[in-house]
Amino acid sequence: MQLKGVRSLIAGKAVWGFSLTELMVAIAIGSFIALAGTTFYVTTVGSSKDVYDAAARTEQIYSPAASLLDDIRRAGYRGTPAALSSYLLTTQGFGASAGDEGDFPAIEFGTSGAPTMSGATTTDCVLVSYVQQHTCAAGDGVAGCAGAGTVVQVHHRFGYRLRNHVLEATAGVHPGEYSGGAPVSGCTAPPATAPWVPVTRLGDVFVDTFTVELINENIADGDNDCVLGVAGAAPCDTYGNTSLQACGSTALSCRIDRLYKVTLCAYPKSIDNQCANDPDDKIYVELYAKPRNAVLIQAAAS
Amino acid sequence: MTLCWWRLGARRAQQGAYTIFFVAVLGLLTLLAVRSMTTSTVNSVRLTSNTHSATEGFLAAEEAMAQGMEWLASSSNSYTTHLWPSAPHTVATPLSFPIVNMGGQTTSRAYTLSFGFEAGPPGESLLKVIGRAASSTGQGATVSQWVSLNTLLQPSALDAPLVVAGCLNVASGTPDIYADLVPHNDTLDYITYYRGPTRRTALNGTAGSPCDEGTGSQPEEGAAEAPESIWRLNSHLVGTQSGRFANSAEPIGLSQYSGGDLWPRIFTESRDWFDDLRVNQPNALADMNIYYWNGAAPAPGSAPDTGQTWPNTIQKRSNGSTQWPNNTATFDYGGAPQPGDTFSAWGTFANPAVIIYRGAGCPNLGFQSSGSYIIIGVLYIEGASNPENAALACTADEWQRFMMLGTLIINGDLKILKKNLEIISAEVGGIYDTKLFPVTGVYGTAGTWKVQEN
Repeated sequence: MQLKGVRSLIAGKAVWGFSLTELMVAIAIGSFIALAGTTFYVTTVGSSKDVYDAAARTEQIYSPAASLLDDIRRAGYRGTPAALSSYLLTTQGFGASAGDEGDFPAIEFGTSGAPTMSGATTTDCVLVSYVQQHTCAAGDGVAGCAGAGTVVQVHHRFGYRLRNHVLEATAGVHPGEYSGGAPVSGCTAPPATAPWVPVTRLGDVFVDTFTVELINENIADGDNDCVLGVAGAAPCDTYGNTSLQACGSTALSCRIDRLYKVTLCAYPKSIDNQCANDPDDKIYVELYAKPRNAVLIQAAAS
Repeated sequence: MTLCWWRLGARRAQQGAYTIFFVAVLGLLTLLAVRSMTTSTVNSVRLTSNTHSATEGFLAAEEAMAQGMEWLASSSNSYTTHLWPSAPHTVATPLSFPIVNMGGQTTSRAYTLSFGFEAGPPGESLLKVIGRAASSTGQGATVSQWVSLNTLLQPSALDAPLVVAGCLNVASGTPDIYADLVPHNDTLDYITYYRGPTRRTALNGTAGSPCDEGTGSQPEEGAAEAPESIWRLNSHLVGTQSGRFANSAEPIGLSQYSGGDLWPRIFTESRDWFDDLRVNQPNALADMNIYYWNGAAPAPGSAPDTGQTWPNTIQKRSNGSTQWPNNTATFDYGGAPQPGDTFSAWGTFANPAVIIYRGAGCPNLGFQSSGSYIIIGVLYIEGASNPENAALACTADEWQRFMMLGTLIINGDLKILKKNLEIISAEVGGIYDTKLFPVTGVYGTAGTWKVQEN
């Protein structure tokens, strides 16, 4: 009788509660969801940090790469047409050897001077020159300055190099524009030299490869744009077999267009030569740049 | 076994609660996941977008500069109307770059393009072209490059107000040429007219024989007048003054060149180029403000450039009242335009005209009921047949009140009779700039491209 009453009671109440099975199932599902959620949350937070770190590394690589591309694009700007004529007169054709690209080559590779397809074609240090406005300071030694505050147009030089797996950069008035002692800013300047400053942090990113490569050049007659080395209809056939070395002779002015490739490879670890093995988080940049100003070599006075 | 309806209903309610619970939990997890991914992606996109928009700005500025060069080369446009930075030309259609936004929808970022020009040194066909691009969000860039203009006129085409392939003879009348801005006392460093060394025709003697103007610039006293005397040119007080220049409103500076066809001395393009345009592309010719007069000049009342105002820089004073060098450049006919007057002409000071006339002789450019001929620019007259022989015999005996501001070229011999023409040189008239005339090509000067810092 009592059991019947309990059954009846249970039967009546069970409708509104959970059975043990139900509770177990619910707890199992809940635990699964909680575990999944927690795992997902932890993973997401970690992933966000990875993304942030990767973005920071990428920014350290892309910023100097973008800056180098801008500088290459501006390379070889000589100022007004009058300044250009003056520059050409004083650098080519008056005793300078044929093929010489002048005192302020638009782009220099290391210490080997202006790159040519037959000479130095790859470097881990590049120097880019173009004219900019300079506001003189007292005693800054820049040629042409008539006193503090005066403004002169002088060649500036911008350098990028790889040293001990850290990218370094320099910017300033070209050493050739100083009347006195110029800051040491060449590619071989020691690391402690003030003009060279690091632009990447070894703790963040290990720069394994930095190369600037001359991959193509087109040398044309400066007077008629005929491509040298390619025989054609007159007057182009005159220079069908002429090379860069003839540029600046008494007979030939030249106009040279060049294309450069910039390659950067970096990763977070500190082990050398790993780019070919595709390490995790590798950053690989391959960019092409062409100076908007062609290199000009004026014919020597006859 | 009785199935109660309320128990069924309760079970349905329970199952719905579980569903809602799970859906809510899954929804929250989904939102969390989406939020996390979105944040990461947005940061990446911002980095990429900043780099991308900077590149876009440069590309757009290059496009603006290229359009500026095309604008210079393709029509009668004059750089003077869009000097930088006071009066840039804004391109009507902005340049748009497509952008795929976070929702996957394609929108665009538009750049307003503008270009302008900066004049190079006087007398040189150099211009600086500046191109600027600016987006509504403030991104943009400005680039510039010096360009060399291939002008239709040779650099020396405007050096002299009168150019004659053969010989000049001022047989009667007193034509005036104002060639120089700066007064000189006893030296001449300017050219009143160029001529060849020999007669091209039999207009004043034997073709091929040397020009003979007599001696000096005055009539030869007691001697027969030379076949090609020029002493009447700029002469207004004959016989009343003494001295080399006393008879003249302005001394005559004569220069001689080697002779032959004048076309290549004046134009950079060939006759074939001109004839091709004349026959096949007359609209292009009109766009460049080039006119072709075939055997006759249209009536002066049909001068196309109407409503012009005569500038204060060219004053009118009567010749003879004041001796040169105090006299000022002027057209001194009655009814000639004076400062502030409205007039009609072929050509304007900003867009001078180039007129090519071909005929058996010279056209009648005399005063008519519809007005006087006024030409601002270059009038080139040559023979209808074999013009390259420079053998036109031009007798200008009907050029009453003909006013020429610029350069008059006769590809042959010129004989002026009775009626006076007046010429104000391009230098005096303020159009001594071949860049004002049609441009047939624009060439960038290597070594002068730069990113403007402002």
